[in-house]
Amino acid sequence: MKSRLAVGLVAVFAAASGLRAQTVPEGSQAASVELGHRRTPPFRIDPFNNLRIPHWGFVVSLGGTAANNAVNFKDFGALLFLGDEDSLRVVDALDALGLVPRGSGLEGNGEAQAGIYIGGPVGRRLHLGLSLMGRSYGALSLDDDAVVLLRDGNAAREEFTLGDSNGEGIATGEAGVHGLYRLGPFGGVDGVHVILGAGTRYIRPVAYGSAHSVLSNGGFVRVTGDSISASIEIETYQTPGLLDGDVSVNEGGGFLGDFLARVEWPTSGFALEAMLANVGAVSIAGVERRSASVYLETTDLEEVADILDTLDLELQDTTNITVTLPRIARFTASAWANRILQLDLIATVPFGSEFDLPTTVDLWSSWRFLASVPIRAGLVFGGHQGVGFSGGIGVETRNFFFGVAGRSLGGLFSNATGASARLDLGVFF
Amino acid sequence: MQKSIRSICSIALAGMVSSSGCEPASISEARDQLGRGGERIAEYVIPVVRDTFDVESLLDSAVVTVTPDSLLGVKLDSRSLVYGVGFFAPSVSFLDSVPIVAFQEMVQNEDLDQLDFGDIEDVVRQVDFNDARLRLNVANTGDITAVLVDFNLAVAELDASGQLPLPPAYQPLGSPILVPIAEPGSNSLSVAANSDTSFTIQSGPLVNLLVHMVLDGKRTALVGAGTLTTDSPTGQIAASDVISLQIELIAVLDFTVPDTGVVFTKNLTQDGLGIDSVEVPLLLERVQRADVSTDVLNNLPFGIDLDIAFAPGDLADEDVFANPDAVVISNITVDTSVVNLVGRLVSGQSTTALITLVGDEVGPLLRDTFTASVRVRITGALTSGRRGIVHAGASALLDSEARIELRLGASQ
Repeated sequence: MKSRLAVGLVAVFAAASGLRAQTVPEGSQAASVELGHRRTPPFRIDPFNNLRIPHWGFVVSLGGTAANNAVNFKDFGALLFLGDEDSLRVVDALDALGLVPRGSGLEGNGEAQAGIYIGGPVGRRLHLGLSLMGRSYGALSLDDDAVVLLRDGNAAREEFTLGDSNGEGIATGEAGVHGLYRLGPFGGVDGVHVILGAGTRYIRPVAYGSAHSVLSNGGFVRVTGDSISASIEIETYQTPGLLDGDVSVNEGGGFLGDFLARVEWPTSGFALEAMLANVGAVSIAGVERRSASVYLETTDLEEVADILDTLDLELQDTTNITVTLPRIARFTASAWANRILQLDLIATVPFGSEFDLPTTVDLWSSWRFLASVPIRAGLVFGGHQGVGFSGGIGVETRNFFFGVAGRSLGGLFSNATGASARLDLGVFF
Repeated sequence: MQKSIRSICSIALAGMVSSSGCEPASISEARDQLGRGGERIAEYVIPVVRDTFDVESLLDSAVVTVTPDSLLGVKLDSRSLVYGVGFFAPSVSFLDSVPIVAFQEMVQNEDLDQLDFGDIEDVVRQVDFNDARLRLNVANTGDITAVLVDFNLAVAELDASGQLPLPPAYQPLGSPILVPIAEPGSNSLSVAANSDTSFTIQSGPLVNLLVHMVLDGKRTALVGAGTLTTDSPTGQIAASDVISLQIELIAVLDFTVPDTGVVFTKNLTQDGLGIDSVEVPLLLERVQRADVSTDVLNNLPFGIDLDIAFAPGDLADEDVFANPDAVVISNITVDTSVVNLVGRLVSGQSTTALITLVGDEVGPLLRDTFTASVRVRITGALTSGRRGIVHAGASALLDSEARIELRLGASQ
């Protein structure tokens, strides 16, 4: 296994050293951009984001992304407005259900992060960084079978299920240490650099909750002309106090690994990168397992209402569970199109996680009319929402770093069904 | 803490929404926004009446019975006309002929499993029984043979205190129905010493009279009267001996329906879509089409005409047809089933009726509950002289449902 890996690495290096990207003219503004700032900041987790900045300092970051496949900001606004006006009617809810795409149900994901990074170079080739972050991840999936009864009515079909409906969310605190090691240049002074990165983060859960159907295929609710029968069983896992907002640091935890491999041609600006984040799992201690079930066969709708009124998630036991946080593999290709324009193609692919955003592809353009003031604009494809738009601006100087960026997913601004935002503020010495 | 988090989230979300220019200027604009998902039709099915008029299930299971020839009947378990001989005479010898009379009041009381016709009582009031069977058991505890002479069963009305006037006023007055209890070809019945004898007699008219008097609220008794003697010249029936008559009554559901038919009404409380009354007008504006489809499968030996009415709320036994808010679906007629000459079912009939609801007529179906009332008129078949014999399993299936199409989405 080790020999295969070694052969592979040698092959990559050899191939990389033979590659030639478009060359940025000497003296151009692109050439004056520090390598550490040529990496376009992502919206999702990237433990290596600040590691290549070639000076010691700290960066405070916060950001998040959330998206769904149905409801945009105007819809939210309308629902809030009608609620405030005490005018939210059944017909409004039925209209709103029409926003849920037929066949795919309601899907939504979100994650947020905030924290501080401290780091800098150690020698010529090694960069080290420490980070303290708070993060949260959440996902919701409401199967189309679960909304079709109200959305389409009961004329066309009699049986409905919860299908694969589920929801999961976690908030964590973490402390991490990451390093980058630069190899090269290979093939001459302007030759290719190979950067390898690795790090680990110790995660402590703060709050966790999940819900899913216990029965295969989500059980069923059968509505015939004169009767209702149902077989539904829901199970939830939650850390104590979650529903009361009374959360505390959990006794569980775990180490997650992050890995990076990047090859770049500093002069031309061309770079290829692969990154894995959140590799590993986190244990959560003392999780309350609760369940509620509905088994009924009745001709009386009131009986159904009575059962639902009294339905309660009863505590079954307390257990320890292991959760796989959203793992991502991110592949990036960067190049300079001309004297001032950097293009990035970034594919973010989920792998092996219990809940995550679908694959997205970001196309970024970074315009540096002034070398230290990148203006970014881009498109994002995939996810729950189809096409989205992104933009941002930064100020990158020797001692100061500021960046702000946003994305409008599934439409522009108020028509968006999702949004991302990121803010970084760094000071270097 | 939880409140605080919620408040912060709400404020944050509201802030985001308002600051991004997402808040609509008016309620109508907000509603238009929620309707942007594209025009669609949602179709909901609401049962109006779905009921099987299974005759057997309409009767109290404690009294229903199926005769050996698979006819459905109502039984009255053994009732005793018991008397000690000493009540009438110190003793009865060979040459004595002692008048005896005994009675058993018949009452309509479900708790006592007496005459109880369950949910078809209204029907029974309007029809005449053609067939009733009396299973009798006459027992003699004495040491010599007892002979009942000119002993008849009859129906008589009791006085207000529940006593039988003497002489009894057998019904109908003037031409009473008397059912002789005697051996074939004879006017007497002998019961050997310390033994009993059982037999069954047909007596439709007597039971018909008894049932109608009871249902009419009259204090009514089944009376046994005649004389008691013995054919044994060597002994006598002692005062302490008991002659008892056990009667088990089965009224077979073998009716002759009057020319005008038999009408009964049944109310059912049903669940609607559960829309608040304030919102019903909003939903009515969205109704694109609403139909009530009614299927009737008639496996009774009669014809059926139906009227259906429904009105909002739980109206219990109120006359829904008279309710000012009622929607009435009239004249659903099912052809008379094919019956043979004595009224037994040969083959059933079915029909489907479809009517369209307009405007506010849909309203009651959208509310929490509504009361549907079914007015059934049973008609007799001409081929059997309007007689019908209800067999085990006889039923009529009524399935009436509303299909409501709502316009939802962009065009609103």
